[in-house]
Amino acid sequence: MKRFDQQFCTRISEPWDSIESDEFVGFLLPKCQEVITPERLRQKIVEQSVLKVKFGIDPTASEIHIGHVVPIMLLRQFAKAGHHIDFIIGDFTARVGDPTARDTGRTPLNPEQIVKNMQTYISQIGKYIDLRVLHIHHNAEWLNPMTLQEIFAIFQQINLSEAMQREDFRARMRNEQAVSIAEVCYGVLMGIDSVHLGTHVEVGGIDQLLNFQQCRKIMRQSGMDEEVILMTPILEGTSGDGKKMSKSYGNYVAVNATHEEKFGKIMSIPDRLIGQYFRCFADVHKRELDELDIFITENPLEAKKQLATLIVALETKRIEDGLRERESFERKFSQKKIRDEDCVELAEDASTTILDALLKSSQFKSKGELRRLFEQQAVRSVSEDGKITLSPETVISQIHGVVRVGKRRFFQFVVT
Amino acid sequence: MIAYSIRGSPPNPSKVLRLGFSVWARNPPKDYLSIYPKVAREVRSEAGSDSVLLCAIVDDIWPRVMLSRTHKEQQNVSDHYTTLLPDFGFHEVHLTSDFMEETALGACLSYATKVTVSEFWKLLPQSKKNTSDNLTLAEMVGFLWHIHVLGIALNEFQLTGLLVGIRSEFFYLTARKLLPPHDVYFINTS
Repeated sequence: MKRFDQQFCTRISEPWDSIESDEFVGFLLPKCQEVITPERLRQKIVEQSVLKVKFGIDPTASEIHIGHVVPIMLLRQFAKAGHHIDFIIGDFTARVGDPTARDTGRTPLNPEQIVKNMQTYISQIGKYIDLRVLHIHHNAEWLNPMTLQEIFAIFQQINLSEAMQREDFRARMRNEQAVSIAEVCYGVLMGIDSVHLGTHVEVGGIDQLLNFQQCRKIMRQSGMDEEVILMTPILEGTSGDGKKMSKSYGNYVAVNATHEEKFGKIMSIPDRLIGQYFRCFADVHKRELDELDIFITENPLEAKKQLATLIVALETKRIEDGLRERESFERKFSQKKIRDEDCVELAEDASTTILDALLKSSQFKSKGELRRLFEQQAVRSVSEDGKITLSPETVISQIHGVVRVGKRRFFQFVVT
Repeated sequence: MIAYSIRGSPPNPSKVLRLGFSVWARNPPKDYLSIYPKVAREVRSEAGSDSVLLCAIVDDIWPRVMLSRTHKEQQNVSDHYTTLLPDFGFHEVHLTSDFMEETALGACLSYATKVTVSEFWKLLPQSKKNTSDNLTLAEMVGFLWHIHVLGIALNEFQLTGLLVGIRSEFFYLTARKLLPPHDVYFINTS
């Protein structure tokens, strides 16, 4: 059996200092949904021994999920090949609010929120990219001191009706939802970042396309060579309903999740997403894509286990960590062998109901969540006699064996 | 001369009104500006105040930037304001270049988050709407800058109210919600 997990995990640590340009592009392209333009990308790689690669984020959330990591994995490839990474913390632009993919205006952040979010964000992406290779900038450094004359000179070059042509703006205005002046200016500010840094290549999600186009325009009008844009896809969530990965949809894999949680959630994705996830998180060369796709089609379960193994191993760069999770997962869910260490032990009075006992365990967000699980018959005792669905009123003394709640949580009850 | 007014300034125990009037120093001052001191006296008598102090806020930064003037070229125009307006009866004349920083992006954008494109569009004169294809984002910057000037002036010179030409009514009504509390008097200038 082909072991893509081991192959890709080994590749994480391979040096790319002297990688040949075509070979490098071959690794970049599978991660991109769109490149503007592939020809210029190739030329720039040949022309510039060290490319200035920009990636910007507005620290709008403190906890991130692996969907946020997708462009970071592309950035990592540039860093590995010895290019210069400018990592922009949009402390200025976050005050404005990126309009991208919003039905309504994004609430601008205050400076305290920005600092707090940034600290947790950086520590989370540090699991996937060596933070020492990042040249971290805060865009308030150059946006705050801009004079009115400088601002005017740039904004004068952008036609208002063109700036309003964005489909997201037009849709919001059709729905009588407000578009603020600041949102219209957002792409221009990103362009000023690129001009200031002399960016050659910018990396980001495909949802940033309109902002990136504005960036290129600002660079062109400033007499600079336009940056090349590499846009990663928006990672689809684990539930397989086509929605993007998002905390609000509950279909996400948190970067701070345990290895066990990560492995389990990756195992829950539909088969059709395995290829996309591999391309997003592994260094797959375009010549390997056909072989990988055939492998996934012929061995979807194995491919998914290898993907989950790889995603766990990405954090520690050690395949053993991923393989350990795979072994544990197979024991629990394929061989149905639950060990004591797999269970949360709850000590309760004999007359306590299972609903109350589980609620006290702090493993569930609310009583409502637990009630839904009971309604879905997802709370079951698992013993040698088979599976028995439990009701919320079942008292602890009536329970024998391990209780499984949902897909992956196990409990043992001890009567005090 | 006063078309109407909106009160909003905090209680003023000193009974001294401090009124402001803002103008761009694009061209030398015109004679119509002499009506503002008369209006200020009318406001004082209406309000029953002991005295009134009228400040001219002369923006010499925006026209210099917009018309790409040198400092000297702008100063030639601005000097007319500083010499003539006291003769018209203004008690104080302040050039924006004397009390404001030109590093304005942050300050302007703090207002930009609170004004919608639709509101901005409503404020544009018909002549500009007719040629909207030629409008640039600099138009928005000008609008934000003007609000910023008023915000700074209200605080810096402790103004209790503003005198505003009725033609600028819509602009002020939008700007007003973003500015510190103040009275506003709309003036018939024609």
